[in-house]
Amino acid sequence: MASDKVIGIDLGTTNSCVAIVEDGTPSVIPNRGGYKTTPSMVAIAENGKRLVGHIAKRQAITNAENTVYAAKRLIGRKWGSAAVRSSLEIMPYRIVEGPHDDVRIMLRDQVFSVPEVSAYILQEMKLISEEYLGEEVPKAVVTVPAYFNDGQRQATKDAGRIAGLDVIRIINEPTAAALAYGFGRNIERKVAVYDLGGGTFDISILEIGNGVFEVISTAGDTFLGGEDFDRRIIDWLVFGFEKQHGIDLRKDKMALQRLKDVAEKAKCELSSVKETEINLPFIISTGRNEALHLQTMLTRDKLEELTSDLIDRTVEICARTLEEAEIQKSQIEDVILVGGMTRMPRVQSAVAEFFGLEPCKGVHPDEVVALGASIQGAALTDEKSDILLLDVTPHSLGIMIVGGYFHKLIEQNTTVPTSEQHVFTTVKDNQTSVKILVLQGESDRAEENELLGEFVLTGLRRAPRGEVEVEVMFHISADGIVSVKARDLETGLEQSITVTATSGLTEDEIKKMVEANKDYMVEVRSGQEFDKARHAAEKALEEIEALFPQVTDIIAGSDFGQDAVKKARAVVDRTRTAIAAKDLTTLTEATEALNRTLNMFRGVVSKTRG
Amino acid sequence: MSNVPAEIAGIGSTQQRLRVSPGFDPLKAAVGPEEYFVLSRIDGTQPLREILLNSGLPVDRCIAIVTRLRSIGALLLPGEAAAPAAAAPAKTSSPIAISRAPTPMKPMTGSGTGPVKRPSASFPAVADAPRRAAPAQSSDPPTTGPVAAAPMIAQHDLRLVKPSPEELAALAEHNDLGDAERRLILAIARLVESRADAYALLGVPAQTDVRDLKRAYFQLSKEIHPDRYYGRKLGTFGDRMALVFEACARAYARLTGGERARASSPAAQDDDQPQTQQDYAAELFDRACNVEIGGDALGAMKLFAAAIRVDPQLRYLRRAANCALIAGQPRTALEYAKKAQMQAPTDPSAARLLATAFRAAGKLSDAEDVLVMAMALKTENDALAAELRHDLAEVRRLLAAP
Repeated sequence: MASDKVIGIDLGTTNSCVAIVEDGTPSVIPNRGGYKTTPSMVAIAENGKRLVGHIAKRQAITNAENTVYAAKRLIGRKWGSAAVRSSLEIMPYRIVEGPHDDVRIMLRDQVFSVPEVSAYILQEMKLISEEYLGEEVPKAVVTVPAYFNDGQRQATKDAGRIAGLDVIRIINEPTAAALAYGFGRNIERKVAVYDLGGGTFDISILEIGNGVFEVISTAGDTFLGGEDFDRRIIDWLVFGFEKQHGIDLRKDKMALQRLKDVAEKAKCELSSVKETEINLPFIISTGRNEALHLQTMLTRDKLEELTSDLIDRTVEICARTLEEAEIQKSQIEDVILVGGMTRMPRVQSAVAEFFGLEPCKGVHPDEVVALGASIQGAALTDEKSDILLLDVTPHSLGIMIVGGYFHKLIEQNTTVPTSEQHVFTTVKDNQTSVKILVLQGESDRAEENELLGEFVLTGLRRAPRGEVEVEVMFHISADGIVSVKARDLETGLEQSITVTATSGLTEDEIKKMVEANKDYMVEVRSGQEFDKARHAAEKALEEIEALFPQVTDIIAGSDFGQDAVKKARAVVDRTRTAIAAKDLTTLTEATEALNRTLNMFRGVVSKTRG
Repeated sequence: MSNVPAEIAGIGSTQQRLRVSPGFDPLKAAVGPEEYFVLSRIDGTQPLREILLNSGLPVDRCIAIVTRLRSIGALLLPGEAAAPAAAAPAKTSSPIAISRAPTPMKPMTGSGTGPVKRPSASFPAVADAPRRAAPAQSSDPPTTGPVAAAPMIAQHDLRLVKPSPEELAALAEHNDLGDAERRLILAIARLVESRADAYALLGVPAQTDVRDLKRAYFQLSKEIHPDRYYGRKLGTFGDRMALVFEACARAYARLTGGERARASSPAAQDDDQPQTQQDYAAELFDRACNVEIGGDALGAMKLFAAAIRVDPQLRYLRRAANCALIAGQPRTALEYAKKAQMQAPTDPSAARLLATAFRAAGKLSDAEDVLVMAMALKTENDALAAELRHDLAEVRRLLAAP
């Protein structure tokens, strides 16, 4: 029987982390290498093999074009979105347009959807926890940035499905962090979560008391994260190099990848030391067969100077969020820092300065989100859990009305579950149908908001405009599923939708991917067995080849000997064919025959010697 | 001309000069465009007869409208001080063109309080203000534990006196809930249905302070939030629980103030508060929106202009610019769009509006400049990014054309 354990996965832009609550205690599950986080990277190697995590990261320099990182920036995005535009410029891998105005990634001539790529990472996290727990783990709570819209959340859920995971809940990263912070502590206070991760910045305000976590307000910037800090360092290096040598390193993909690695490393080092040496020998070769090196010092002060505006922006967003929630800075009793970037001393001091208090040091910025996700998983499924998360809807919901305006029915930051209804009337004489466009966003213009779905209510009575009344009802369930119903108040006729597939993948596509991935899992597992068999066969082949001349000399004289050598040859060939065909069953059979022959050969040789 | 009667039933002589009742809120009453139009003519100086003749509407129609306005408490006769009983306030009107208060999502039986259809589930607190001071009748004396000094916990009457057949069926139904859990949900459902005030709904005494309210609400949430029953068979209690929790969350939001409270129940503010300049502008703005939706963009422009004179905030400027475009006043649109963009220089949406206004005013290269700039402003709003791209392509096409 499959366990009812629920893992919590922090699917990060740069790193992912998985945790589980066991015997009431949440803990992070280390991967095979003993690391608590796994790089969110997927690559296709030259032999067509799929590589995930640390292995993918290690080969990223030499295989940059086929290594995907920061796929989270693309998930659930439209082809024309700003995120995709900027990724097109900076990502070494190929991003192409998908069939539904979505985004696909091309690796070695194979096209992958973004949820597929994310699925490989989720699958890796699933495997890590299954190896650790020794049983299958079918369910997960996955975190996303607070600012993710419905499409991005849906796409993340799809990724879970492709990975063979039932994602029972999507929660916001800062919320998860607060859960981990408040877990097991009897506290009653208002806290701010400052989350500066690899790709996004989020700020959330929560009220904690008696095991209940109420999200009051949440906001953020999806274009602000550790990678922007890295890019500042890269730009600085590139600029310096260009000034010295007149060569733009960004044009060379391999050089760019090395710059990326070194920038990230330098940034991390400068959190603990005051200066660090950047050394990239043979970074590029000039046309005259001569290699250039990049060597320079980067100080913490310089880094802070390069990135001060980024930090200022996060502080501005904090101020705005507090203002919108009508909360005074002085009401915040603790600040939780989340995300690797919050290790930077300047970030910590900026936060302390703004809130007027030292940020909480008790939580691990890289692990806290996964821990929180696992706590929510347990809160939902474990009856002993005494935790309740009162989550909010991150964006306003409404419909389009005459004039192309957006009429909000549910405001952002409203606690879910929630519902709201409103009566609308017809705008034309003898109007017999109304089209309901369900939108999500904050703009007052309908077209500037995300379209979640649409439907038509027909059969309205012919009447002068304004006479026929249609009631529109919105409902958001506790797990964030939006349903919309429209009812003709006169006839009681109804029409409704539940907002689901907006991730850029159709149901059919997802089903196919789920199937394909299952095959892949079988392939990987049998592949490992095959490797073992091949290894054994190759060893036997090596030995038998070595013995052939001797054996032939000895037995070729007899009639049977000729036949035996021929047969032995055939067995050897059969084994080689089986290896080439990667067919485990034939190989097993052939190896058996091969070993029999080998034993005979050994016998012949030793007999002669003896 | 002569078909204006000397008297109208329920109002009297058409020579009277009627006034608009000062407390009357056309938004809450959700009047239609024609009604609003007639209402705007009534100024206390013109005799009713003049208004009937000059409205441009058929006299019969106009009389019917005046009669209706009078019946909903909009109009005062000379000498009258207060409006006759008005219809219940409706939620903010608006859009596809609006009419009146929403009806309950699931009308419940046995309510019987008042003839006005109100959504008991969703707006429990709206009309409760006058009753707030009254002690929470329906939550009766707590049945368990001492009241004094103990930490605040929500107390509801779980006895379910005289259960309805529906309640009896619910109590007997086969599901995973315990008796106390069922009783609590049914008890709160009763309060929702009877439109008990926010305090009663949360099971706390009236005027409980914010801190205790929070504790009571948190504790109650642990018992009635659907997540606490995740994966369990709930039967008919699934819907009931969502309904009950939503009502409590709303009650809590309303009592503790903050943006969410106002967002979800705009009518919650006290009426006797003096109106500020901002409130006045907001009212003008709401009226303008209504007039615009009623199809009178030109008329709406005057009201938008008035609202902006009092309080030139971004939202008003944007809407006014949009309306001006619809009204065919590109120069006015451009003026407002420029002001809006100045207030939000890094907002791509404001830039897009400015570009649209430039385009309408025939200044294509200005539109292109603004759009290119807007594209450079990164936005997480994909829909907006797509619109910008589309607009830019369009403008460039127009620029390329001879």
